[in-house]
Amino acid sequence: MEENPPLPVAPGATTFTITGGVGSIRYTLAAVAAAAGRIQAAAGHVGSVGEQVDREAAWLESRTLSLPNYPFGAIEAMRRAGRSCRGARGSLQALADEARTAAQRYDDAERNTAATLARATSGRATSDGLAVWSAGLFAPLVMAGQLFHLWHNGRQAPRDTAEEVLNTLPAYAFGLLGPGASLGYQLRGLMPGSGPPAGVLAAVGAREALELAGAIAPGTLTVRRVPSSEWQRRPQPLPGPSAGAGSMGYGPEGGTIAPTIRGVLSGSSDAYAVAPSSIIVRKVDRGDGTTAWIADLPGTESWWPLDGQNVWDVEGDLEAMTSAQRAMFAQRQVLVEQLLKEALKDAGALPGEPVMLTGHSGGGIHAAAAAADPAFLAEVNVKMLVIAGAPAANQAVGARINVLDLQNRDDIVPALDLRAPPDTPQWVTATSTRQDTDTGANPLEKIARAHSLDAYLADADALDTSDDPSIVEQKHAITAFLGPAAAGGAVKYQQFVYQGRKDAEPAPGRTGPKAEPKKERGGIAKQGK
Amino acid sequence: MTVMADDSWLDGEGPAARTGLSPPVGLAADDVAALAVALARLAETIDAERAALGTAGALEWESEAAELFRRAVAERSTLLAVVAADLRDAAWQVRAHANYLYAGLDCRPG
Repeated sequence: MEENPPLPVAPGATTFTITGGVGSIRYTLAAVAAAAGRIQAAAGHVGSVGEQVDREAAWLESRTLSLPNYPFGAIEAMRRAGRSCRGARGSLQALADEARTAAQRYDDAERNTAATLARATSGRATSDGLAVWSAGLFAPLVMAGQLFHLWHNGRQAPRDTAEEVLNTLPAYAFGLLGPGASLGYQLRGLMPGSGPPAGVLAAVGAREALELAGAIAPGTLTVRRVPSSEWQRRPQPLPGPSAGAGSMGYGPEGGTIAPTIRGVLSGSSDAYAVAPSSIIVRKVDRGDGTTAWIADLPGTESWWPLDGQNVWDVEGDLEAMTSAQRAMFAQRQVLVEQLLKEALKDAGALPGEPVMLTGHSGGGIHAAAAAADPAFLAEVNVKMLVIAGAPAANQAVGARINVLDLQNRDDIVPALDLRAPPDTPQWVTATSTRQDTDTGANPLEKIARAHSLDAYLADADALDTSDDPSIVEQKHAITAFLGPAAAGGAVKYQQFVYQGRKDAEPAPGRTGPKAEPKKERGGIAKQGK
Repeated sequence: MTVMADDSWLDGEGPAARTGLSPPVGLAADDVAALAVALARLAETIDAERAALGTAGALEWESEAAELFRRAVAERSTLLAVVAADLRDAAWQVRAHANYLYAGLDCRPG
């Protein structure tokens, strides 16, 4: 595969905005709530001690009340200790209540502020739509003025502007229909709502429309282990007595991986290069006799046809974006998930062994969708995701899975999920602002470059030197995943490449049986192990 | 004389109450000594709670509110130190009464 030309990115000049992780407000709020729980427990224990002391004092008093040697000093000391316990319990309880209430209030205030801002933005969009409606014949002029203003709005990053525009399109459209429609839309916005986020609804709508139009259709997956002779630039013989047979291609090739953000993310770059419609599976020797696995996913490789044999096509992206709603569609399986499971199993991954998923763009969506699917997680022990340029915010990734999400302020692709990335202790998003030296590039070129994986790898280089606490925590998670071998600076791995091919199903129905991936002749089944 | 510790005592109603005997006349020195041990253990329990409270205050949180929270936790920690000291004082006083009872037993004729 042809490599992209070097980008005019100076890693030293790149700055980052970090959300999520140990440095985030949400992390602090969770920690404060946990501290409140511990203080509450302490209050309970101290209260129990006080009751115990009171009972014993009462017992001692009852046994000695009529005696000449009444232990006044001892009983009084016990009564005093009991009072101390009760006082401390009340004080601890009050502190626990205050801490819990403070955390909750802060959280509520954040949510209310976000909701108020969203309503205000929606209101502005409706007003803009109404302005066009009321301009009558001059409507095109007004619309052109609005577009000009939007294009030259330097207050927001292109990613955030794209997200805002996509989110407010319905409000704008209702404004175009006139005051009655816009008022109805705004009133609807005041009602408490629930259900899937806007980004998911949009993806569901797009997939349903394409399915109805016959542009996409269900299919079955065929998985093949790709011989190394097909993906190695310079085929290397395998070591050991079976080197002759191995060099024919079916054996895994090895290498070393740097225990860095760039080190793990670069696998996604390799996944673009090895073969179309493929993933890379790396078997990592952790250095203590245990094994970890990294699955590297490329991004969208095929844009047309929308639904072809390549699993990394637009239909595949929609499968991942609507993974949680898969029961609504004729194609009920996410084929990339099946490819991942088959590939890991064939490469020798045992249940419970830790797995990291890396992915760029569509690969990032698929990585997050898999890590949000309970059925997938029941079979694959996903520990961490490292993704870049991916609109993956709508995926409810398991709470114990670390996510390092690289975005760029000029990259509008991550805005396609129509929401900001999750701000949680486990999900850390690093949004870069690059010092682009090529100021003469046109905006579309700039956006394309912003989304390039090479640019994200340069960001990863810069992040590897970051001392931001959230990033440091994620780097620790990477080294912990790679095991003691990471301390040496280079971790050995064996590489496997698997190719998935989607074939159209003969006559699937919405209630048809679940399709299982096939193993192609000359592929996994034939190769054996 | 060795005072035997009885852990179950911590949750009961007093050593004499669990002997199953009819209400005792007066007080056994061993029971009083056991009470002293139990009180000392309760003081240790409070010490452990104080240590746990210290971890609750050790948050990665930097702000004015965080400082106030840490100060409040430190105040409660001091309070627990007072509770533990009161319990140890009570244990010492009870132990002194047990010693007084033992001394009376030693002086008894026969």
